[in-house]
Amino acid sequence: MDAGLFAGAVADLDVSAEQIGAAIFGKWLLAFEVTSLLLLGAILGAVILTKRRLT
Amino acid sequence: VSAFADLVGALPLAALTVPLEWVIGLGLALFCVGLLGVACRRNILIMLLSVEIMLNAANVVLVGFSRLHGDLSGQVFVFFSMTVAAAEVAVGLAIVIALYRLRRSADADDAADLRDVDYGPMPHLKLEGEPAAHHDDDHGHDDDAAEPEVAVAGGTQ
Repeated sequence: MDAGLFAGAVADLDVSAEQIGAAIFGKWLLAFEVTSLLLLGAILGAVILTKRRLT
Repeated sequence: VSAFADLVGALPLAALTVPLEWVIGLGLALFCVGLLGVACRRNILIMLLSVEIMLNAANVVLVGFSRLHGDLSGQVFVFFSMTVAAAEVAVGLAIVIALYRLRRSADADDAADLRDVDYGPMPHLKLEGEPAAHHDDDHGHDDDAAEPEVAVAGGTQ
């Protein structure tokens, strides 16, 4: 693959899991917490929707 | 084949240099597969699965462009996207289960009429103590004769 459209522009990003964890629990902590609320809402919605005796 | 061998031989083994065209091509192929699955299949479960394939195509492209820009935020966003996909498939499967209990079918064409089709009174709304006796047929032999016997013909018309 030589001289593609984006070739050569790919940064040499050496990402470790530690960096990703630091990014999630540092910069994106609020989004992480909101994600927990979203999962809670999804669980509640799934349980309510699949309850047999609904009405 | 020789170009591929050269590419494999030239791998730095620390940072795999996959060109971005491959990433975009993979994302495009996955998205097309998902779109075909949603458009052509009528099974609701397969349609949900195809939606997940499209979401994963977006994830692949996100990771590719995250590497392109040397930014970590794309990969973090992929984690959040996976979480949203999990929530979405949980609610989607719950809707499929509720729809299957209502229509006795997992086909999308049987759920085409969301207006109130007169299926009559709900035949099997037993309370929790009783065993659900709606395996074989929807006859729902009720004890009180005032309620009309309803045979839900599966589907439309």
